[in-house]
Formats: sequence, structure tokens, C-alpha cells
Amino acid sequence: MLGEFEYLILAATVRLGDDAYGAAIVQEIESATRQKCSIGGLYTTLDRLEAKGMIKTWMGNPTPERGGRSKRMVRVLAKGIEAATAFYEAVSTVSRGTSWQAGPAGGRK
Amino acid sequence: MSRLWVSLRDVLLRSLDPAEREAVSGDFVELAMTDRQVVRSLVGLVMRRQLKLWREWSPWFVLVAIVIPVCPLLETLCNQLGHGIWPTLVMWLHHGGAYRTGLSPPAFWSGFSIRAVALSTWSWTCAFALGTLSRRTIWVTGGLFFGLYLAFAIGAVHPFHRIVWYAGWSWLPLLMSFLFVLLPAGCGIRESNKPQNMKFPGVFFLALWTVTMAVLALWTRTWDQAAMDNWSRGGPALTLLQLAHYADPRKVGPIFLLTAAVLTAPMIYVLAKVYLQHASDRAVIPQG
Repeated sequence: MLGEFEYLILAATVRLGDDAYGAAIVQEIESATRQKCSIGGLYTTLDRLEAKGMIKTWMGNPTPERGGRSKRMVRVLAKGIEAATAFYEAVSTVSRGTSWQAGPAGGRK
Repeated sequence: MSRLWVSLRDVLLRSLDPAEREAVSGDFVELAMTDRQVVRSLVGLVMRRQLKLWREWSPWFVLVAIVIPVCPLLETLCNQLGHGIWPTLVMWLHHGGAYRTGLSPPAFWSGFSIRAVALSTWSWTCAFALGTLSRRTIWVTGGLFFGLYLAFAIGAVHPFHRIVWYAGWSWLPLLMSFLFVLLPAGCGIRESNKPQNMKFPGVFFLALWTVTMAVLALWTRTWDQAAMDNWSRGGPALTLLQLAHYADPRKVGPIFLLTAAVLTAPMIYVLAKVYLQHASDRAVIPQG
């Protein structure tokens, strides 16, 4: 089973398509969650996902807006898609019929 | 203050491997992060990377084979070097006379120089081996190397240290530590970063120099005994030529033989590693 941050990275990578790399993934996650995403955490998690065979990374071409430095490009592999789908289905299933409105049962606001 | 963050950022970035360093630096530029934010992000990444590296055997090998045995030995030798020169310096500075050691002044200073050069060579080569074998864990293993050495040097447990401190000569052992251990060790670590220094003939000559200095340092250990024997017979101070005749290399004690072996071993290990790499490179037959 994937972790929450692993799922966020896989989802952001799929959304970005061919433009998925470190900084772009950070921006995508920060805009979706409205929380800070650490580069350190991202790169460590990318390594872990790559070791599990869920993603593939490689060094891309340098660009002027990065001071001529290369990007670490990311692509999700079939195993990653499978794991992300399973995670999404599990969250959807467990959330079915659940209301997050505040009420007597003590839901979140 | 911003210079501090920039320096910290550079130090942290240097501990990453080149490809990752480039990708991460580019991301920081693109995300327009301040140096302070960059440092905060990097600390986590570097710590995780270090933890991963320390799961392998090589940093532990460096710690057990170089840092732990070499630091106290270098400190002991540096102390002995200071112990040998201290009475001579005090006699000369305070009384304007020569301290009789049973050796002629050229022989005494030759012995001191050989031991000083041998100590510097061992410091340089051990630190070079440490840098070569540590790679990205160099900040931890190098820090432990200098930290452990300084802990021994400042420990003031050696009787010579106590005498020297009471006499107001506290600068002497620290100066000698700086000149003959810390400075050469710093240079050795710096040189280990340069791939051109890991070529076979260069490393061979470095190992040869280390062994030569070790043998010479071992030989000078017998000079004091020869001088003492000669003095007990009422003979004059021994010259270098007489030492070549009287100093018996077989009288080197097993402890100093072991010390020399431990201090020379890291360079021999590097030589063996570079030689095996050189041999395997030569074994690759060009296709065509």
C-alpha cells in the first residue's frame, strides 16, 4: 500500500506528463494541498518509488531559467499506476457514505 | 549572516552526488527559494542520504580501520616529537646552551626532521586514504578524524602536556599538532577529491615514499638507545656516520613496528585498490 505522500507524487507526475520533474512536482503538490512540500522529502520519496519499480527517473536537458542546470525528469511506470489506482480505490471505498460535516458523531469541519 | 547560509548551502550541496546536486540546485533556483529555505530543505535530504550511506560497510570500515586506530597513534607520535625537542628548545632559549642528547647537533636535527616528515607523511596519507574510501561520508568521517585527534591532543592526559602547560609552553604541542598532523591531514583530504591523484604510478610513488619514511622513522627510534650506550661508555656525541654503524635496526620495539604498520597500512590499501583498478582497465581489450 502506498503512503499519502507517495500517492501525491504519483498523481502530480501523471498530471504533469512529460513536464514532470522535481520543481514542477513540488509546485503541483503545493498548489493542490496548500502546504509546503520539501525538496528533500520529494527526492527521498522519488528514490524509494524508483527502487520499488513504480517510477523511472533520468537527467533531462539544462534550461536557462534553472541557471543552466539539468532537471531530474520523472515518469510513472505500470506498477506505479497500479499502486496509485489501488490507493485511490481504497480511499474512495472507505470514504463512501461518509460525511465530513460537523455533527453529533464528531466529524471534521 | 547571509554568507553563513550560503556557506552552509554549499557545504550541504557538496555532500550530494554530482547529478543530484545539479538537479536539486536547479530546483532551488526555479522555486526562487532563499538560502535559508534551501539550507532547511537540504539538511533533511543530506541526513537521509547519509543514513543510507551508513547502511553500507565502507564508512564503518574507514571508521574502524583508519579513524579509531590512527588518531591516537598520530597524537602519541606528535607528543613524542614535542617531548624530544622541548628540552633542547628550553635550554637554548632560556640558558643559551645546548642540551646534551648524546647525539651531535646535525644528527639530532636529522632525527627530528625524519620523524617530523614521517609524521606529516602518515597524517597526509592516512587522511588521503580516508578521503578516498569515504567519498560522500567524508564530512562525517573527516569530522570524526579531526575531532578525535583534537580530543586526544587537548585531553592533557599525557605527562608531557601537563609539564608543558605549567611551564607556559602550551602553544608548543598545539603548534606541532597543527604543523605535522592537522595541516597535512587537511591537505590529504583535499587531494583525495581529485580523480587525477588516483592514477597508478602516482599512488605507487606515494606508497613508496610512505614506506621509505616509515623505515627511516623506525631507524631513528634506535638512535637514542645507541646514544645512551655510547654515553655510558664515556664516548663523545654520536655523528650521523657513527649512527649508521652503531644504531641497530633490530632493536626497534614491537610496539613501534606495529604503530608504523597501522599508519602505513591505509596507503598500502589504496595502492592495492588502485592497482587492481589499473589491472582491470588494462584487461579490457578494445573491440574492433
